[in-house]
Amino acid sequence: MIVSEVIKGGIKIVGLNGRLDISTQDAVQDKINALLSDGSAKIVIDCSDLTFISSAGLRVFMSALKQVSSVDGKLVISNLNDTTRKIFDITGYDSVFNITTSLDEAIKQF
Amino acid sequence: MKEANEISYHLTVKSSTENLAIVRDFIRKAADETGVNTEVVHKIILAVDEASSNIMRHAYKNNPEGEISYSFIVSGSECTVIITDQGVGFNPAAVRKPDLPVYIKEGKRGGLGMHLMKILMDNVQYESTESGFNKLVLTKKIA
Repeated sequence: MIVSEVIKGGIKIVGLNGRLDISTQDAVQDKINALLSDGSAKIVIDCSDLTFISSAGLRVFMSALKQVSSVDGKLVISNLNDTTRKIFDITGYDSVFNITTSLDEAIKQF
Repeated sequence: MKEANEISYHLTVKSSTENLAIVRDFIRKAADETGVNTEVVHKIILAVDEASSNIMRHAYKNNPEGEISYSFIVSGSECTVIITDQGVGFNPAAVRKPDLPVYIKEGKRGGLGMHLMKILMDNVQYESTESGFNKLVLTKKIA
């Protein structure tokens, strides 16, 4: 799993490349925690290159959402593919997260 | 009795989380070779990943030296994945079905993996044998 970061107009865009399962959840969680440590709370998680997500990944996203919400921020998840989107739909997590189909649309949420 | 057209694939890996990708590739390749459609393959892969994660975390308590064996069997219109380990067994009846809206809202942990397996597969059976093996049987109609 490669976790990248781009900052655009105060919005932090976290790019996930690879698989998000129990073997990679800590790396992603640590990166998000580090991003949030300066109090910033405008986060987009770009899943364009995310090839797999399990329930471990959902927990990482949920933890990030809680942190962002606690400081009145916003978290948007963008570019899930058909496979990764499905796990959100079947678990009901799709109703919890702000999910967009493109990065541009995600940025417009702020 | 085995059906004449039964095809089976087998894999054994150590219980290191690094091996999850190998297990997913094993399932994908076996499913592709037996003509299982993509939608069903994704569901089986996710269910097997959840099962494997539970075994690594709970049965082997994060010890990467345990063994997990997989059999992927296609027989007639059914696909069965049998997963065995020798870790600590559990009582599936004690795993309560999570109330998902509450579960999500309160950020609870645990139980989601088993619940997902049941959503993704047609049948999920688990047994701990007296010989020290735990066996999880996941079944899915493929036609």
